[in-house]
Amino acid sequence: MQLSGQSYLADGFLGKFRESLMHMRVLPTKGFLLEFKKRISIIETAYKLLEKKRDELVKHLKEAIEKLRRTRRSFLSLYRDLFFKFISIYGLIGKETITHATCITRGRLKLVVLPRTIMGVNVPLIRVKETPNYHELPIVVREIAVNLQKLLQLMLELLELEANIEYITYDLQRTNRIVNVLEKVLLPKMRQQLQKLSEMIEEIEIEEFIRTKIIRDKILKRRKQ
Amino acid sequence: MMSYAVVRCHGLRTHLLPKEKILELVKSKNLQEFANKLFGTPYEKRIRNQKINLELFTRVFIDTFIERLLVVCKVTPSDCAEFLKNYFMKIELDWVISILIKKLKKEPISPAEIPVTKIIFIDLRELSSVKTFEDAINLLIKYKPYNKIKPEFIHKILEEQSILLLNRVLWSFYYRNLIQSITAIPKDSRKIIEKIIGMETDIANCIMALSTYLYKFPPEITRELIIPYSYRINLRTLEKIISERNKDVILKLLSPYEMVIRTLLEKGETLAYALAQKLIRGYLEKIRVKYSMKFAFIFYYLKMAEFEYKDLTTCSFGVYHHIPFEKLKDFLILID
Repeated sequence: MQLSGQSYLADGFLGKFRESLMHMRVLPTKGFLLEFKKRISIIETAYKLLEKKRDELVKHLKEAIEKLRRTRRSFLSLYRDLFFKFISIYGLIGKETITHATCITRGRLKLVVLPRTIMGVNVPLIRVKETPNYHELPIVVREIAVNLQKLLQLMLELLELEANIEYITYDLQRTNRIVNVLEKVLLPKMRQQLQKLSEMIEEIEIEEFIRTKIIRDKILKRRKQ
Repeated sequence: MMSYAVVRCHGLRTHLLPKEKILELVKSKNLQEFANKLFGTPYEKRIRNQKINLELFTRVFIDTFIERLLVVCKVTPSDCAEFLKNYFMKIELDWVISILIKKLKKEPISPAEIPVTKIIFIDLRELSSVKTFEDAINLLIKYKPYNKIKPEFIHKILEEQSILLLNRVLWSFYYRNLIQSITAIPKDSRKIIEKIIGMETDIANCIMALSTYLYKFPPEITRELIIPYSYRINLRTLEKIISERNKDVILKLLSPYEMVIRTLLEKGETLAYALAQKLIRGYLEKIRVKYSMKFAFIFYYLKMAEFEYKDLTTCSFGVYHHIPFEKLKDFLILID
């Protein structure tokens, strides 16, 4: 007896799983039944864990999207405000002051990208290691520079959030597919197979019992003769 | 000679654009409309038959301002003219520092980047045409009044090749030179001009001193950047401000400029700086009648010309980038 798989099962983990199930030799023995039950219980546990992982990923995704929305709003508002100010100071302090102010800035912006895991999903974590200092910039230009630094930090935050959302979404899609296949295809199929197997073993047992009874009757009959 | 210069300034004042014209200009939809609105003004001859772009306007406005300044300087007694040039040297200094930085960084300078050949004291094209930073510094100190910069500072600049040091040396030289030349002004106008320069220095110092409070900049750097001249806010008060964390105490200590400081603390230094300029303009307007036949009027006229140049530059940038009038008006000095 062989288990049949669904054609839409995905490749990778699910494909391999399906493969192993398809090529599994099902023996109508009590030992195999127990083994099969154990296997179903493991798959059920995995299903529950994956379901929890899926829910957790959805929660993280929702939080990240909400944070992204908030960050984007503050980014745009700061950007607009800063843009108006930046344009206006050209007249107030002159283009040349702004141009040479950029040369007065000391140091460079240094970033580090660290890996972080959210429910087994690797996402980047951007950390500012070093920032340029604007301490000696002319007045007015300093405000723009300090706010530009804030804007850059918001941009990095947006970048980090967008990357997180992308990775989480990809993993969520994968997890969801596994959960769905387990829930809707594999587990029902395996339960069905388990039932069939139980019935088959039961029939064999009854058959064996009847056969034993007939033999016993025949032996008793022979003894009486 | 002074009376002639003052009367000439009364005449020249009529060439300045009225507020209504600035308001009309700022509401232009694009640079072409902005240019069209400038026809019939003293700027017309400089923009007619020219390719309209932002650079043209930037150049035209500064050109006109420098021309106005030099015309006034020509008819003003030499001592007073020297003071005017020393005061407005701040515009030239920005260009000089910019050229020197480019020389230090070995960046090419195209002639189109230079606004006018001779700004106030220096031939900028000549300065930009020299090959190295050392040559540029050596040429700079040949010009008057830059020849007064102490040789040890020049050696240090050449030795360290530091932009920061260059910036500090030139600006401290500017203030020293300016303070020295104030003594040449007629006594009847000296007090009022000292007050205006004092207000400007005080406000710049207040903004600088509040960097620790606003941006958490290191106090020792802030201390070094304070201009060592003060008017109503003495240097000891500024020292207190650098380490002060309480907003109310700051407002109390800087009470002569409370409005500007409040704006600075609540809305940022760009708006505070624009407001300070507006206050200075308001003050100049107030004294205009009283000093109408004195040297202070010449100073008033040139300050107004400077504000016009700044406002028109802001307008042209605003129009080019489609900034709404409501946003831009806070930064216009001549508009209340």
